[in-house]
Amino acid sequence: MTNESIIERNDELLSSDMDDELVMMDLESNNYYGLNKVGKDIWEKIEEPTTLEELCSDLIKKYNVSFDKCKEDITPFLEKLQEMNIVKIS
Amino acid sequence: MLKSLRAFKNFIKRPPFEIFLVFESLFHLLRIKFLIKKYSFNKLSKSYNLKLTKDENFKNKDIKKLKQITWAIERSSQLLPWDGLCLVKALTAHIMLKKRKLSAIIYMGVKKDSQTNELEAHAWVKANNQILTGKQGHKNFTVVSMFTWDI
Repeated sequence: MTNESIIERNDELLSSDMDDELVMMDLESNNYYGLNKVGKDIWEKIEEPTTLEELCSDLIKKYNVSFDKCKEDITPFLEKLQEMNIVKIS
Repeated sequence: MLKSLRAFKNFIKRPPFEIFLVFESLFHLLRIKFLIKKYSFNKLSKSYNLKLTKDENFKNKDIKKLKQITWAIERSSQLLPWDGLCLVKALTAHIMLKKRKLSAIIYMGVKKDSQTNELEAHAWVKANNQILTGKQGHKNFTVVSMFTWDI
């Protein structure tokens, strides 16, 4: 994944807020998932397709981390979401 | 044994239409139980023409039939040996209501177990401010989606 990788939501998922978290349902695979607070933040920021660079620049405003650290931390998370068909990375 | 005999006697004293509804519901429960194992909810909801909705404001006129169907699904699901039939019951309600031009909403919800942190899903059906199926504990679930159908 590079800075220019575009991350977008899988629009077929249905999601809803549950306290600080987000729950989603994948009707195609009969699965449901929960995202924690940070996951929910990321989900909200990729409402429109967003590059990894934009996403991290946004996140470091809220969380006290460096740009590189942010990238390092969320890359495996995003890859996992891609695996689970929650986001698309291109 | 005596108790179930009495239940059976009470059951056959019911109006024939209600007894018919129980058998109809039993048939759909078994069929959907099988279908849902085989296909995803997405595929089923498309073949049943379910659509996402946000509108909860509608009223059915035939409240008696609504109650009879609710009763029949509850009664017939008690005859089955499985737990966790909420979605099967919800889809059964959909088929039986739609056939009689009645409208309702299927709610899908998720909750988190505070101890194990595991997610649990539930489905329930509501019409005219009454929960038709899946009433137990539905208030603890966060609604993720609502489906309805055209009548």
